[in-house]
Amino acid sequence: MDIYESAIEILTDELFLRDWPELQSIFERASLNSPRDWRLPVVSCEAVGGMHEQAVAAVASIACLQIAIILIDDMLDVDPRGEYQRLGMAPVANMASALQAAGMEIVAQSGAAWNAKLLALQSLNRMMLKTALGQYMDIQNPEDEAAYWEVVRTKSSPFFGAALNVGALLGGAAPDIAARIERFGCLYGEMIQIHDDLNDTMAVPANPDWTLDRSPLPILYAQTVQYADREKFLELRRALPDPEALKEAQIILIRCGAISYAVHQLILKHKLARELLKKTSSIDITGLEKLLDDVIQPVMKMFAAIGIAHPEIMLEPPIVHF
Amino acid sequence: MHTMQAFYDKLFSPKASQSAYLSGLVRLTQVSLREIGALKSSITWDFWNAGNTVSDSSTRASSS
Repeated sequence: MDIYESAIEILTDELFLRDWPELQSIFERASLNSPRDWRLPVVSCEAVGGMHEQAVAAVASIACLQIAIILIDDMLDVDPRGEYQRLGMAPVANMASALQAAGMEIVAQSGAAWNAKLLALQSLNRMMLKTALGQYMDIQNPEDEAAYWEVVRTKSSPFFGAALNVGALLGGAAPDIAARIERFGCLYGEMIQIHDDLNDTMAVPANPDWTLDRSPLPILYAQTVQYADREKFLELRRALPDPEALKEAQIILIRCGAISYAVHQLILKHKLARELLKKTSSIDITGLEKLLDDVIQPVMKMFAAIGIAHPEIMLEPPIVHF
Repeated sequence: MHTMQAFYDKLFSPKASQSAYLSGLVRLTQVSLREIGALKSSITWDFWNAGNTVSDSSTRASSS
């Protein structure tokens, strides 16, 4: 039985999924994709010397909480793909509320030591509170870079920090080590958000971010920086979702350095995360390094494809204060 | 806000060519839409898209 099946089994047998067919269906569909994020507690658990079985409760918990966050996020974003479109807002809000409680209950019921469980529950609760605040801030459409990073650090990265933190705690890590792994997870989460932003802005047809006046990092850059085509970019954005306007706007994103800026931020976070790992002695960092490799690999592939002779140089940004 | 503008100023300054790092980022401003496709990844925090098996919105909306 793999980690996803084990997590579903806990939810089905010990909690309530069997009695809630719509929710069970959501879980089954989500787990079919083998979500990478649900494995995070296993990676940190093994990094601190734990067995992956010790992380199963954390996996089930993180699965519940991630689904809860996304159900709510889709409603806030008026995302046409959201479950609320199919089931209605009130039932989906009810599900999200149940999932949040279930995520905590699973950890409370696990066989881990009580002090570890208490710290894990505190971490998960803190993460859900931060995320809710971040979701609230996000729908105000942050208009400058400081506000953008504030939203990333409240809405997006705490989930990844908590997922790794809880896995480490249930694997028997000392609180200071688990806290360090959480900081690593937050940087990792920031990198995931930048990837998300790059994918969303370069997607065809136009992602709702373009038309709903949202500002993922590249679009925020193109609207903020002073350059020759800025007015044209703003005009093209108003013409969306016209496919030709999208194409022109995306070319401007490339030419004005908006994509380069997002990649630069990705590289900076990657460097910080690597340095943090190097300073974390007494754990096996192999799995955590693999997480970083996976998120930087598309960038390295890109640099190689466009003829950068030594792409590895790009992972060593000079100390420049922009 | 200032960080972005400062980055832009450095990226498009004549001195950018003296830095291998900045030169790499400048090269990235010259690529085509097709080439930039190499950056596309399945890396996202939305699990509906994460595994590439339910990767487009129409599939996601209709799956049940």
